[in-house]
Amino acid sequence: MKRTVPLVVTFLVGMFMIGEFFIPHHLYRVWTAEFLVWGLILAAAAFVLGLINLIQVNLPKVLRKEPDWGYKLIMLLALAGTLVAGFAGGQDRQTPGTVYQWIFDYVFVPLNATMFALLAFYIASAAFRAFRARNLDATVLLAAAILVMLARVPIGESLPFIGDYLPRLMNWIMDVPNIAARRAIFIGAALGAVATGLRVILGLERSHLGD
Amino acid sequence: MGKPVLYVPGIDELQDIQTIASMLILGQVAKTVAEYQSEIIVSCCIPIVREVADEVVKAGFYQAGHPDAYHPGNTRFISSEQFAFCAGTNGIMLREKPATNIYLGRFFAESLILAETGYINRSIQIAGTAEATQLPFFVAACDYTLIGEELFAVSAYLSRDPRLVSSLKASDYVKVFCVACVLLGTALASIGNPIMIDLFTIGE
Amino acid sequence: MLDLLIKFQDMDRRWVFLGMGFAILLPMLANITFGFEVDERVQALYDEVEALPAGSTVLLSADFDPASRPELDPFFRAHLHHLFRKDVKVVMVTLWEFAPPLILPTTEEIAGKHGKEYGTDWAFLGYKPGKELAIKAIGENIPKTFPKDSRGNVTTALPVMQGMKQAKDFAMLMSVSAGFPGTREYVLQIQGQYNLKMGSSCTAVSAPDYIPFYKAGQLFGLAGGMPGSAQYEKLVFPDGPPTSGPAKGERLLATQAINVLNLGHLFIIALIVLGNIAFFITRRIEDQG
Repeated sequence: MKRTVPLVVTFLVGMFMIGEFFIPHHLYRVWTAEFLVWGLILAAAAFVLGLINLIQVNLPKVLRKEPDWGYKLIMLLALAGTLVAGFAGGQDRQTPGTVYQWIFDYVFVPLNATMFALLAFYIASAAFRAFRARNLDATVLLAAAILVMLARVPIGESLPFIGDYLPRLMNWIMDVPNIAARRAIFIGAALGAVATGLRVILGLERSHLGD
Repeated sequence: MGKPVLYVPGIDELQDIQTIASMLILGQVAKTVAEYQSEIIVSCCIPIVREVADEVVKAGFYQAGHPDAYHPGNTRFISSEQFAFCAGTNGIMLREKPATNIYLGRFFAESLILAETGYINRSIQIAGTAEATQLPFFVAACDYTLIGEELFAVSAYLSRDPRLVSSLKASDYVKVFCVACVLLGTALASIGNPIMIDLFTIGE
Repeated sequence: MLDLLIKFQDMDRRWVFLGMGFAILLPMLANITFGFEVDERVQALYDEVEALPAGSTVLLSADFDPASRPELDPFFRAHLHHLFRKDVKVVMVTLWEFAPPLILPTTEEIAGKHGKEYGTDWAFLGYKPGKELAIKAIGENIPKTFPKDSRGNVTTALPVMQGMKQAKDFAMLMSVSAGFPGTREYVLQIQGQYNLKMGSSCTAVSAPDYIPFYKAGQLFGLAGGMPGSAQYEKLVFPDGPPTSGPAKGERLLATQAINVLNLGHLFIIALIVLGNIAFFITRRIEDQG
């Protein structure tokens, strides 16, 4: 029963949702839209559980002064502060001048941009480490990477002999082998996704239920 | 030995097929981790994914016969904001020092930050995603990368269930059909016959 | 020598970070500039927008957040200037929850400079959750999807929304997209179905994914990342930062940032080349020894 009911529900709801693409009747779409709204409500309710989990995991570590408890304390204080500022601001919390908007403009935006900016440094270190011509495949990858990067930089176009051909070569690499590989990945991934979805709907896959 | 495994099921919602595929694999990974009496830390970006992951991990430990080894606090919701989640997961990596990092699911810009931090820790890293834009970063920074459809094939491969493996065979046949359509369509279009193009055109 | 080469290959990544930091700072401090050419995809995007008749209405979906703002905000600003100076009306929506505080002040500022009135010349219908569902709903019925705009006005009462019920009623759909949901979802969900004229500005990492859409004619133009934004700025402001008119004071940030990007690329290329030279020499020495 404990295994059968979820499988039956998965099958019925899954088949119903798939039907929307084949049954154009407007009443059918009303019901599928309703199901999707139920899903959104469940996801929103899960945020409360997420909040409880955050506190449950981190607060005991702060109270027991486990290693790095200071970072967890800052996280909990930031969580509480933003929550209070959001509730206090209400509908108008995003109006300029409110505490909530100040937190967004002067804390969230710079931190978010900083984390994204880290990518520039990490790409440099990853490229330095990974792009070594150890074998033929790696050499082809290395050559393509250098060609594309060089073609994107104005200095590449001013190189003697090859400067005129670099942009054309780069465009060829981006337009032909790159797109061919991406399309192959898209098609393969799409088929894999369909197969996985069908396996879950038909109850062939049960590991997400602990079976 | 003795070090935990870190599992990151991507940052997208539960209804995304890559997250579902990740949950399917998580069950088997949790069971194996339990059999070796180690720990698994699951770092989640979406609260509802955290709830499902928690149930999956618990079931895995129960199936392996080690229900006492299951720690509910090891399946954690970090943040629903992409880079806050990334920062939190990096913190877990640097503090808990997992031996293995497994990134399976849908990732975006945080993929390289996660993988590079894992590399600093000298963890073994296994990644899998169908996001073509993030694959180069995983390939550069991880030890093993599952590309596209391989992510969806893993659960069938690990379980060896004939019914699941047969679905892989079926998708291979469909791929052959797609290739045949592409070749036929190219040949027909080259001689001026748009029948295959018209057949596969959608919309008005 | 062998030890040195091995040390170089295995050097602490913080040296790489330091070098990258210098490569980023140098163009800003020393005012180093590089010229650049305009890509055909960006040119096509510009030409299509330039061909819009005055009075037509464009649906603009601005979907980015603080992380992707440096790449996309310059395009967004230049695009708004481009549209408003051609007297094209703009209806803006967003599918990203952190976008409104970024895009609304920018639009109000630029619309104000061009003397454009809210509700008549432009409107912001707000943020809609639901991702692909929201996009489908935009394709089917915009007033039903956004019954009220971001200021609480009834959408159908706005002069700029007269006659605009579905996405296909607009002259064009422009997607300024940092990822998911964004350009790809618009193309997959509604571009083909309604045969929409659609252009896109996206992050550099997503641009290779959208090139097939451009090649297939599903996108009439594509501006990828900071280079795309800089090229678009070059086309919209061919004489450089404007010193007069409504666009006076525009700093053309992408054009400035492209110099940083170029030097950063050169640094990475140099690292890769030196790393491989060290690798080959090490291997040769080890083979010989």
